[in-house]
Amino acid sequence: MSTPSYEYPFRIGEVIESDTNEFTTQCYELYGAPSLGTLVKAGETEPVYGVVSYSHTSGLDPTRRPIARGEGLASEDLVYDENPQLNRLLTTNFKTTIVGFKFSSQITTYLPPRPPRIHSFVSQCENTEILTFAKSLDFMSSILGANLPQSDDVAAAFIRYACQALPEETELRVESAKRLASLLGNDTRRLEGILRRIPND
Amino acid sequence: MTEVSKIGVVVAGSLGEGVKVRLNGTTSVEDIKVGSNVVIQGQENRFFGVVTDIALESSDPSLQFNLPDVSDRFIRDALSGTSAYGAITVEPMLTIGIDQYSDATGPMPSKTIPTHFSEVLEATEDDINSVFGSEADGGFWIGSPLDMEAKLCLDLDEMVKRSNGVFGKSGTGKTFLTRLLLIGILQSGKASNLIFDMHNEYGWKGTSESNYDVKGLKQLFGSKVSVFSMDSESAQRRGFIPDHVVSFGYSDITPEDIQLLRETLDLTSVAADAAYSLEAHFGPKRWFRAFIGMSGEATNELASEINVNSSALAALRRRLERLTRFDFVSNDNVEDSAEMILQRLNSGQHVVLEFGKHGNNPTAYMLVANILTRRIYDRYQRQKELAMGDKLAEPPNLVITIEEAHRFLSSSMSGQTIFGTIAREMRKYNVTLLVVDQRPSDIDEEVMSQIGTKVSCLLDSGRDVDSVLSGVSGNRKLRGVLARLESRQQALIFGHSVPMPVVVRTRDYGSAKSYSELGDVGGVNGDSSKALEDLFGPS
Ligand SMILES: Nc1ncnc2c1ncn2[C@@H]1O[C@H](COP(=O)(O)OP(=O)(O)O)[C@@H](O)[C@H]1O
Ligand SMILES: [Mg+2]
Repeated sequence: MSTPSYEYPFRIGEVIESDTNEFTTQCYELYGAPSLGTLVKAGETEPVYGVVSYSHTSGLDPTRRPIARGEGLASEDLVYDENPQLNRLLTTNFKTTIVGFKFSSQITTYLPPRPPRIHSFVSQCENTEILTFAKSLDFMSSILGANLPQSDDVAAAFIRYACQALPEETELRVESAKRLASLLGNDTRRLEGILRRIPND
Repeated sequence: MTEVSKIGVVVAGSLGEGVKVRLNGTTSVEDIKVGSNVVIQGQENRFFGVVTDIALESSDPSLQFNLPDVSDRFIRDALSGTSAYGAITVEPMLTIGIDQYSDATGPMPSKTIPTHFSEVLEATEDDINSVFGSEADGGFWIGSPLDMEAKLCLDLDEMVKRSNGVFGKSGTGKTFLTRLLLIGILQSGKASNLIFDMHNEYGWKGTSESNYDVKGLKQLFGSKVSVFSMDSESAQRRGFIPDHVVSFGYSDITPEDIQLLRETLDLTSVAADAAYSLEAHFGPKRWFRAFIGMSGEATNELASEINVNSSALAALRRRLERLTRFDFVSNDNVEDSAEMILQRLNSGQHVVLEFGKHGNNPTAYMLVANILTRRIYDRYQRQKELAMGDKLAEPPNLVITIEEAHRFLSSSMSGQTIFGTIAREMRKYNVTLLVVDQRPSDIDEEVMSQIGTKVSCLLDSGRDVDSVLSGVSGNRKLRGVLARLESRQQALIFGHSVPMPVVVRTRDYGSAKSYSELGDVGGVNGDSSKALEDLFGPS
């Protein structure tokens, strides 16, 4: 793929697949996917928000599989250095669970009427946007309810990410934990598992 | 006004069982006490209720089996108030209208319950005043609700209409409470008091268990109070001169008194009943003197003459001789003490009768209380009937206070004694009782059911609790409240003088502040302007 865009440092990639619940972004940079649980937005004036729930790197051409190239090389990095074409042959995509949208400059924390268009620009979010979602956590029920193998990790990862981005919100960790506890009122085991993934740091 | 604090929301319930309130995350079950008051803001009504139960609940039934790692503070914090939460049961007692128009009707007994999710708040001082009235409305401040500073008031008008009771095991504060009630009645002028002061605690001064003296009624209210004594030496030892020393003649003793004393004199019923035959034989007023002077032989002859078992009659004579040994009973013509007490009462004074050393002798206590009460009651009855509805000519309302009331009001006794009669009628002849007792289960059930307002401190046994609560609605829930009272200076009050049962911490009595709040007029050493006011009314 192309080199990162220095004019638009917050831009990560573009939407290449989109449905009501999630959209898939192709990163401009190989391995450029944001961490699991990160809040991103797709679209310019009235963006759709999503939480990173899955990412995937593979060959661009599905008919050609990568082959091993490092035999006799001292480090992994040398593999990429000596095969610069890999940056064009491989691509990183990530999926986001849609959690809300902005409409007339109001952020709403439920599903938008329609998902983002293909080629919508996907970029990182500002702290005020993160705060809105961290305070509401309305979307957690759809993440937890999606029953993906990684659901619990995504939930924990979002809370870790929000606490890190917003260190001034000192109560955020406990408040979020309480919200999760109410959502998982009848499944204390699962709740405990998620909470264990949110260490205090 | 105190800050209103929300404690939770209604999540379930019924009129019969009370409403279940889920506590919000910031209110701990440990902050709530059974018996405390809360307000529930329903959709159309405000409900005033009492906490009757407190519980720990959880939305995950398996929580108690698969305990999460609660040593981790974070996990504990997350769970508490969410999956694991506190809940209370509130009995909505009264409905207070939500708008100011309904203020006119005042609180009404709840006939419904608040809707789901109604907000539950701690009761504020304003709530307490709107439910129980305030001193400004003429209520008498008896104490404060649990964990509140608010002044909780009793309706004295309602109180003096009926006989009332103060119960509780020894040392719980009955006497202190009674003293406060008497002061309330005295200040309001709604009734005169006659107090049979068995242990010398009401008249001049009382003592506290922490070994300091507290003022009695005489020290607080001076000339409004007369102290009569059965034992002038004891009075002098305690540093004051009684207004009058009481004595009785043989002619004051009636067969009814003997019935009352049957147990303490250890008489068979045949022997006790013989007193009636003696009265019929010798005539009223004369029988005791004539009988007590008889020789053994004469007694035997008399027995066959009046057709009574001779050994029973002999036993009666021996036992009655004990009465003649009391120094307050004499053969001579004595001043009519009952008459003197009546005069004081009629002139609006309050009379305390101290027993001195005789307080420890049940026979003396019962004999004197019975003789005096019977005489006074007869006079009230006559006076009231003569007045024929003319309120002004009627005798003033009288409240007679008796400690150890079960001695007069047990089921075997209450049918025969004057106290039983008074207790059963609702101020028919303007006389009511204030019974003070540590063993209410020994009091006749019917008498208990006639008691208008019951003030109960902690009790000794389940039987006592049953007898105090019998016939009260919500009995089962009040049991729990009553059983958890503190062992001193706390009481559950219910009945006619309060709109709903309520737990109070009895107002402090004994400090200089308490005396001045209670309208200490300086008593016998009072300043002259107050004394003049006493004589001539406020200028
Ligand atoms: N309202 C009160 N103010 C101050 N002290 C009190 C009060 N009520 C009870 N007490 C304390 O408790 C003790 C016992 O009270 P008392 O009325 O003599 O109990 P009882 O008559 O039930 O045996 C008192 O001596 C006093 O120290
Ligand atoms: Mg006492």
